[in-house]
Amino acid sequence: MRGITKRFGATHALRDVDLTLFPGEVLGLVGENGAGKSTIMKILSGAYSKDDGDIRIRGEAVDLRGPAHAQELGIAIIYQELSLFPDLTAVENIFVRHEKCRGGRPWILSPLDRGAMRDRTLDLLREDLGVVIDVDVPVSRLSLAEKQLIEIARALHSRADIIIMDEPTEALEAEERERLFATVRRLRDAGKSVIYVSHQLDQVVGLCDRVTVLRDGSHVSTAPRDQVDVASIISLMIGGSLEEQYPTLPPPAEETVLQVEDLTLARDFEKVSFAVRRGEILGIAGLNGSGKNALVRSVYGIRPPDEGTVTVAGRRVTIRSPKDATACGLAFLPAERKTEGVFTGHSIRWNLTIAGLRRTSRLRLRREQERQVTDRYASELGVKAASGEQEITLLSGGNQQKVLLARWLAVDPEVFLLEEPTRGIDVSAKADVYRHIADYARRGKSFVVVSSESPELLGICHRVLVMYEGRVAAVLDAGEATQELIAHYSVQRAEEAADE
Amino acid sequence: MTRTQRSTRRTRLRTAAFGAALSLVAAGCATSNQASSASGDAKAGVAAKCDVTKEGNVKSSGLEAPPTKKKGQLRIGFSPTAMDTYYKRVLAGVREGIDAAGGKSKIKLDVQAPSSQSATDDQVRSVEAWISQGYDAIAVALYNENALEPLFKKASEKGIPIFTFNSPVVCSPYYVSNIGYDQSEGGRAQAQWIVDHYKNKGTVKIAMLEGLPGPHTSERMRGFNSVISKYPNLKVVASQPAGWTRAQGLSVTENILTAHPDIDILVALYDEMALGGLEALKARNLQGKIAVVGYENMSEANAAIKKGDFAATVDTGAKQEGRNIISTIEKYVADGQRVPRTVFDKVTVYDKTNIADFNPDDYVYVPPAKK
Amino acid sequence: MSDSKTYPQTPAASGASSVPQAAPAVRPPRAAGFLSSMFGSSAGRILPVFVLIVAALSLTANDFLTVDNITNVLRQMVFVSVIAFAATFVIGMGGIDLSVGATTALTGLFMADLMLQGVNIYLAVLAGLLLGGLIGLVNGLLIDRLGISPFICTLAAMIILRGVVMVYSQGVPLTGLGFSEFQWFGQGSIAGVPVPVLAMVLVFAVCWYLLYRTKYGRYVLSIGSNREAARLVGIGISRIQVSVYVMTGFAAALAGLLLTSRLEAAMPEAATNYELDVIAAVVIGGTSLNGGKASLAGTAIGAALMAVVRNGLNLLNVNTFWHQVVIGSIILVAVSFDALSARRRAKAS
Repeated sequence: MRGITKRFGATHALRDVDLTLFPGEVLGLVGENGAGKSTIMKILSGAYSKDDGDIRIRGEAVDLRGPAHAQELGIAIIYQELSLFPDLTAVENIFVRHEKCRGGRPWILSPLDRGAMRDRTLDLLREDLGVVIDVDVPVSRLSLAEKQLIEIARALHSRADIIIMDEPTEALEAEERERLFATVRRLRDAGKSVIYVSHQLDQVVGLCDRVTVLRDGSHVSTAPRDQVDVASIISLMIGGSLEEQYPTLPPPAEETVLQVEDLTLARDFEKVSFAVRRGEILGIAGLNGSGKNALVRSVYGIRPPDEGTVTVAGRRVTIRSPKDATACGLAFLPAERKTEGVFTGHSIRWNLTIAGLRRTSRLRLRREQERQVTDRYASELGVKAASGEQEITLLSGGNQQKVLLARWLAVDPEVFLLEEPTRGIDVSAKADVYRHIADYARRGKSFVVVSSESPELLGICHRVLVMYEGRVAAVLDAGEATQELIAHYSVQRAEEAADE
Repeated sequence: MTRTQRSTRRTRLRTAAFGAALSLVAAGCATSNQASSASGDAKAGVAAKCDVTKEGNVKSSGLEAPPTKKKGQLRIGFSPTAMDTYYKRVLAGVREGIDAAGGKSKIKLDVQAPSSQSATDDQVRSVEAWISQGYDAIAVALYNENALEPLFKKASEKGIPIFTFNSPVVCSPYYVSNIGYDQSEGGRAQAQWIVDHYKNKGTVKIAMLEGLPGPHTSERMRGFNSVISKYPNLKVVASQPAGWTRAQGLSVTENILTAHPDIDILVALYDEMALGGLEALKARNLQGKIAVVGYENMSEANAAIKKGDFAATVDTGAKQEGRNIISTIEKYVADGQRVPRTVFDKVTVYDKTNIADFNPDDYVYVPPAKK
Repeated sequence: MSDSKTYPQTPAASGASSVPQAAPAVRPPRAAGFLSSMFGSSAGRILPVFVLIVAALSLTANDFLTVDNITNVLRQMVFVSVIAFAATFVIGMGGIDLSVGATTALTGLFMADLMLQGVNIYLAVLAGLLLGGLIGLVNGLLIDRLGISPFICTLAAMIILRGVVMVYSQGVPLTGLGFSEFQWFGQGSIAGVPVPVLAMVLVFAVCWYLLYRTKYGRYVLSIGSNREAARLVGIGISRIQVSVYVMTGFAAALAGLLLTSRLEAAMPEAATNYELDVIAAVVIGGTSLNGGKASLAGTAIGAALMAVVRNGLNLLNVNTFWHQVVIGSIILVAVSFDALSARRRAKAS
């Protein structure tokens, strides 16, 4: 790709970008949100048309006419949002639009050759990807990692030799992530080319042969792996050096604000106790299914606990619903921003003030006040937007996340329960979020942060609670905790570890 | 050019312009072409295809179930198109007919009305059940002349005679007898009343409220137009559907009055619509000033005539129809006699001159003891 | 992106990449804000279709633009509108209520029956309205507590209630309701404006206030926009959901009152297909069947559009057989026009 330019209205989304991909390599593509990563990938996969520049595939100039044309040329893209049909099986998903039929010329009513399709699927998964997945159940019942593997299998089946992966590890646990990396390496060794788009810079450096950095729609640098490290990439991405990514934490007060004792929810977690002090940030780590998400969701009343007690600011409370939880001074930021967080189609103001409305006793809305609150918090958190009336989905992920955080800051709760607070947002937005968490901790607010990113937990938490199979495996102080220790306790309990 | 032609032209022009505006939207819909009256062409087609409306003209086809001489209790299935005021009156006649035949020990009647007028499938279900249970006779009112044809065939093959009632057009070869009255005669009677009272009064403007499109509407319209068209001074200036209901009778009349504030007569093919129209007239203090001609002689219409709000209505002998149903069935099934293919009762026009002659007993079931 | 504006930042908080900007953030002018809240963006889109049809009718039908005829159209749209205003909440919440037509018929019948039995007129009216609210309450509780899909639940309710109407009335209309206090609701007027039209305006005003100016409306639309998110921010979904169905039930009963009083009779087959007219009015008005966005003024225009078309067909004496074709086509054209202009707008931005 050479001199690719794309404009949206007056905005240059891409300006004269060059990109070269060799057979049998993994190319990392990094940049902040809005740097143009997605745009150039969409151009390459035929979803957008370019305004200028040319694309050569295997030396031949091509004019991509659309996604179908790109597929024919062997380009497959695996999006952040999985594009599988949840109710169809792996086999059906892989063969959508390429169904094998019995008999001669296939047409819409030809009988399907289910056996052959199933065999081919198992073959693809076993031989090319080295995995065994149940191909007969609806994919909605598979794990995220398995779904991703099926997407890759679909790409391979369509004989793609350029595979674009957009933020593939975002929702994966450490173990699944490793499996995906192994798959990518295997594809590379088989001569396929992979473009790997990600915010996880350490992973990019570990996996990719070369790394291309984009900034503000322009190509900044492309360098082989051995010439870059995370710090240098960050400075290239933001065009300067980043201040310390993690802020310094103020020491918490003595007073306990949230006390959870012997909390149990059948099949999810058992007899979990912990306490959070005023101004403290408590991290919760653990694998998927360890109960870490179920725990905070249960405290927040989404699925109320079967047993156990919760005390907020010295008062025993019974929380049976999120409504109760908010009344007790709890706030909750869900991991699934799109499905559980934002009110699509509504403004920043709407999204930011919705939680706070409960606190005003009046039925009538006060728009002027809403605007003031919106302006105040949006500017405090540095939300980039035209105005408070802008529709929320037009914002970048990082800005959306800031609005959702501001939603709760404006309510002034005692304890914030945050699930994956920086999922899918770019480096500088992450730093912003960390800074605001520390800032509010300094002002006496307490936080419980559930995250699958150990570095993040180590960076912003006073203590890290590690869960394993529904129980507390260990509680580590910031001083003693390391990624290795967290990983260690994530797979076994403290007493078992001591026995070794 | 006569005034009539001119006004029709104007209507057409306007309609055409509106149609053009619509066709921006409704791709090429030709609302404009036959803007005058709903019924003309459609019913002509029906009548040509199968002219059974002339009393006594129709011979039996030989395909119907034969007459029998059954002893003991007769089981009869009775299915009107809906359970409303009209059919209640028919049913009153049916019950009196049963009393006359010897009471419940002689005839057992099962009544099943579909949940709404257009729910022919409900009717199909009840008739099917009666056929499979081997009823002795089935009486059906048809909304759509062809809907039940396969069932008629099945019943006749099983030897169950089919009788139809209040059904304007019955083309099937399988029924024994069609009992009721001539729907077009009802329309003619309405028109004749207008002719008798207005033929010498210069230009008279008439607005019509039609029912839902279908054989009842088209037969009544056909009869009406056949008389009224002979008198050029009697002009139908608007003819619009009002869905047989009072609510639509009201709103359509309001709209018609806007376009034609100077109408002299409001004709409705059913009293319900006429009563809705009367509400519209009352709101403008026009009751008694615009002559309302209804159809069916519902008790409210009857009262309206006495009060002077209605000019006339047509009584179609609903109760007599009910009595005729039972006597015809009895003759055919129990006595083994042949019956005419068409058993029609006469229609009567009531206005203020003869409304006192009407016996209110004719609305309700009168037990034998009271007679 | 480089050209996006940034909220003013406190000096301490200003990040490396933010562009400093004079405070405060750009705000749309007040008038535009008012119009958009009044009509909603989608109602603005349906307005041209409405204007076009009104213009076409005023050119073709001489009597169309008369005070008399406009009063007629207003009076004729009352029954569907009153329900449609309430239904805008249900649909904006992502639900649906198919039982409104049957509720209208049943409550009208109930009021008529009570009055004919000698119950005080106002008590009878009140009882009828309460019955409507009660039907809505049952619908709402079934939907909320058992988690039945609103479509199925209210469909079942519609069928049951239509059946109850037939059983209750034995298929015969209840007449003889010429009580002057009762007539007032459907036929009276205040300062020359018919009472039903006033009632419609009042219901519109109340609904408009609730939807756009209160927390209640904000919560209803939030539930429609993202139910899970609404739950997680602590909105008590159950009570709001149930209350919205109570509202439609009540509105249906109000329509039943106006209709029965207007006709001085309670008809078993009254309000047939009202549920469809109501949904059509709401959707033509730009409220999404998926919920989240609702335009009350759009609903009013939608209801007016259908009333105007029916009126026009009568005025022009259009052939009976064409009526349904024309009405259906106009609905289709209205929503297509809306969808097309939405797409054009999306492309432009």
